[in-house]
Parts: sequence; C-alpha cells; structure tokens
Amino acid sequence: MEAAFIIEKLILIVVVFVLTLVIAMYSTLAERKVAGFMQDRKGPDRAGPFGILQPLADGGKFFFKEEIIPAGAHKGLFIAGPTIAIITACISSAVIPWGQSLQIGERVIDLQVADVNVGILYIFGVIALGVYGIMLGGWASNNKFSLMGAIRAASQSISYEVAMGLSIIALLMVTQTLSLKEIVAQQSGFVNWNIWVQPLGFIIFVTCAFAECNRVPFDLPECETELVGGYHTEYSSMKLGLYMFSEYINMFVSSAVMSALYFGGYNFPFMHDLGLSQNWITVIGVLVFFLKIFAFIFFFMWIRWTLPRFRYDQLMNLGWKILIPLAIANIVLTGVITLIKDTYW
Amino acid sequence: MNFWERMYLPAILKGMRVTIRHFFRKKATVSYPEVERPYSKNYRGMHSLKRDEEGRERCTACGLCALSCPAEAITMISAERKKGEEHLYREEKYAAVYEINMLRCIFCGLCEEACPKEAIYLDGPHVPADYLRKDFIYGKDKLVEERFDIHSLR
Repeated sequence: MEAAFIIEKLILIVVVFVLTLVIAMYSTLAERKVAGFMQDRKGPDRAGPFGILQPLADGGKFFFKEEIIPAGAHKGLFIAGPTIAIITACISSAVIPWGQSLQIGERVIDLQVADVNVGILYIFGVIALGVYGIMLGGWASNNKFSLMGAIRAASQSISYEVAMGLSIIALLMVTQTLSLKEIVAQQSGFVNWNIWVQPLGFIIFVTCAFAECNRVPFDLPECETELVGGYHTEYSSMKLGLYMFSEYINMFVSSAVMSALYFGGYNFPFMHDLGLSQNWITVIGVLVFFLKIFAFIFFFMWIRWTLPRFRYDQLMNLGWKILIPLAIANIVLTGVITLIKDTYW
Repeated sequence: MNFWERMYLPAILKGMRVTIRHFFRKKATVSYPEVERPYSKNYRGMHSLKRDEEGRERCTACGLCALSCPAEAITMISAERKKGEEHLYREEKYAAVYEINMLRCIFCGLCEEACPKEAIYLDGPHVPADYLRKDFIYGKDKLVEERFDIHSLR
C-alpha cells in the first residue's frame, strides 16, 4: 500500500463525501422550489438570489435550536438512531463508479472509492441497516405514537427490500457480475444500456426505491408525522436535521444506483466515436452521470407532488402480493429468453 | 376496472403530465415588497386626519368617532385653541392628543362615517408590521396628513 495510493483514495473519499452532502443540501432547496413551481407559486427566493442560500439558513437554524431529550427516553439509543441513519446513508455512496479512469502523468486513478466485487450486495446490506436507524429512533422515544410510526416504517422497508432484491436478480442474470464497476462498464454507448434489456425490472426497482427512501407515495412514516407522530416526533434540532438529511442522501444514492444499473452510469451516446482522449471521456462521463442523477432526483420530486399516499394495507398489498410475483415472473422471463438466446443464436 | 386501469401506470403518467404542465406556467406569486398588489377602490387602510384648504386641522375632538368605534380603539384629549393658533386649527376646540390603537382597530370605517367634520378617512395603505405592542398606538404624528398647497393639486 504505497502512500500515493492512500492519498489518492483519501482525496477521493473527501470529494465524494462533500459532494454527497452538498447535493443533499441543495436537494432540500430543489424540493421546495420544484414543489412551488408545480403548485403555481415560486419557492423560497428571499435567502440569496433564487433562494440559493436557503439551505445554509436551514442548517444554521438547526444549530441554534434547543436539543431536547425526553425524560423517559433511552438516552443512548435516542442519539444512536439518527447517527445510524446518517452513517448508513453516507457509506452507501462508496461503491458507486463515478467515471472511468483518469490518467494523471503515470498514475491511473479509478473514480470509485471502493471497487468491491459484490458492489450491489454491499448497497443492499447498507440500505437494510438503515431500517435500524428508524426503528431505534422510534423505540427510544418512549412514545406510543413514535413506536407505531417506527414499526410501520420498518415493516414497509423490509417488505420492499424483498421485491428490490428479486428485481435485481434478473438484472444480475443478464450482467453476470455483481460488481458495479463492471455493470457500468458493460453499458458503454447507448444501445447497451440495461433499461432496454430489463424494462419491467426497472419499474419494479423504481417503485421499491421510492419505498426504501420513504418518499411519496410510500411516505407512511412521514405522514404519520403529520397525522400522529411518527418516528421523529420527539426529535429536535440537529438530530431531526440528521434524520431529514439522511432521507435526502438516500434519495441521492438511490438515484445514483438506478442510473448506474439501468441507464449506463457514466456512459453517453457516441462516447467512443468522438475521438476524445481518455481523460476527456472520463470528465464528460462524470458530468453526464450527474445529469442523470439530477434527472432522477427531479423525477422523485415530480412523483411526490403528483401522487397521493398509500394507505398501510394498500402498501403491504402492493409490496407482497403484486411486486414480488411480478419480480419472480421477470426472473423467469429473463431466464427463458437468455436460454433461448444462448441456444439458438 | 380493465387491465390498463388496474395497472395504475397510465393514470400515474397522466397525472405527471398535469403536474409538469403546471411547472411551466406563469406563477401567481407577487414578489412583495418589490412588487405591490394594487388596492381596490374601496379599500379601508390606515386612518388619516385631514386638513382644510387653508391647512388647518379639521378635527374638533367631538368624540363621535371614539363613540362609534366598535373596538374602542380611539382615544383623545381635547384642548382650547389659544390666540395665535388660528392658522393651525379650524375651530376653537381641537384634539391635543389623538391616539388610535391599530391593534384594536378592525378597519370597519364607522369612524369615517360618523365624523361630522369630514376629518378622518381610511384611505392609507395597510398598517406595516412592527415589533412592540406599544408602537402600534399611533398618535397625531402618524395620523395627521401632511400640509399641502391647494394650488398645486390637480
């Protein structure tokens, strides 16, 4: 392990981390602006031109508020809840391939913090851990409504994890590898994107991603907040800020994973025909990747301000009785078509 | 429901089309304070104590406005006009202290209707925001209108 390698990885980690936080911060502003525009009004535009400084104002507000820990709450778990939520949200961005390799002098730098060869499995594991953050927060609040909200959030999360995993299996049958880097590398150009190969799998994955991020129409944990309590009733100031922030980071990472798995990640049409050098292809690829991520984040917000939310039984019905059979049918269909393709073509 | 309706996806896409159309429409927001919405013609805003053509205050502290106010927002202390003050006040009795509590006022306009001297009118803008309750008790300095030159009016 030479020093240069460690320094390079450290710089990459810092850059990815800062980028994740900044994009999540500005997602909060984008959410409010997009919400406003879709409701025939402007969003926040007082803090700086077009409201650019609004996230800073919100962050400052969270710092100045009073931290309250309820009397009967379990202090350690109360603090551990948002901590786990934000940690799992942040570390899931480690395996995403941001671009091809950069060639600086003699060193070839891979734009991926950790090239694990079970990249997708890692992401699923980390997302599953995120449920703990919500459950601990709800249970440690010593509040019946928080507990109910947390239980519902947890049951929603684990139900949709199953369908998400099943829809990914069909994709893995096509790509033959779990490593995110290779999945993206296989999708060079435009016609190789996995969306053409797995349209049904993509729809199932998108639905489950909405459920995992607790976004409308699956925002039962949050609607409990409006109606009753929900897992973050007793939270104030920075801990609440961390819960809300972790949701936006989850949204960002889900968008990144979706565009990496199905929409080609950093690949763009005609990327090899333009005659550019490797570094330029990488840089443009990174920009194109971020464009796709922003498009997906806009899609998340667009759906939020269009659809009403699911009732709890409708949500469970959808997760278990509709999405799982669909995902299994998708697997069977993919298997049959792969077999036919391999035998006769 | 037929198959397409049960899938919900076509309905979702139609809904998304509606939302995205609203995204690009003109917004109904008025960027106050850079842009102000115009008041209607009969809008009742801040009170103003009027002067006559020679610049003398019309108000004679008769108390009819205070009597008619349903919120008891108006209070006044009258005084007698001294020699040498004929150019300031129209009649012998005038209001030395005239206060309206803007937080009590309901802007109904009954004081305007009750005044026999046509001295008080509700023709100002809406009352601006402030921090302390005591700053909302407007005295004569805020209520009496400015002196004007009748020959320069049009």
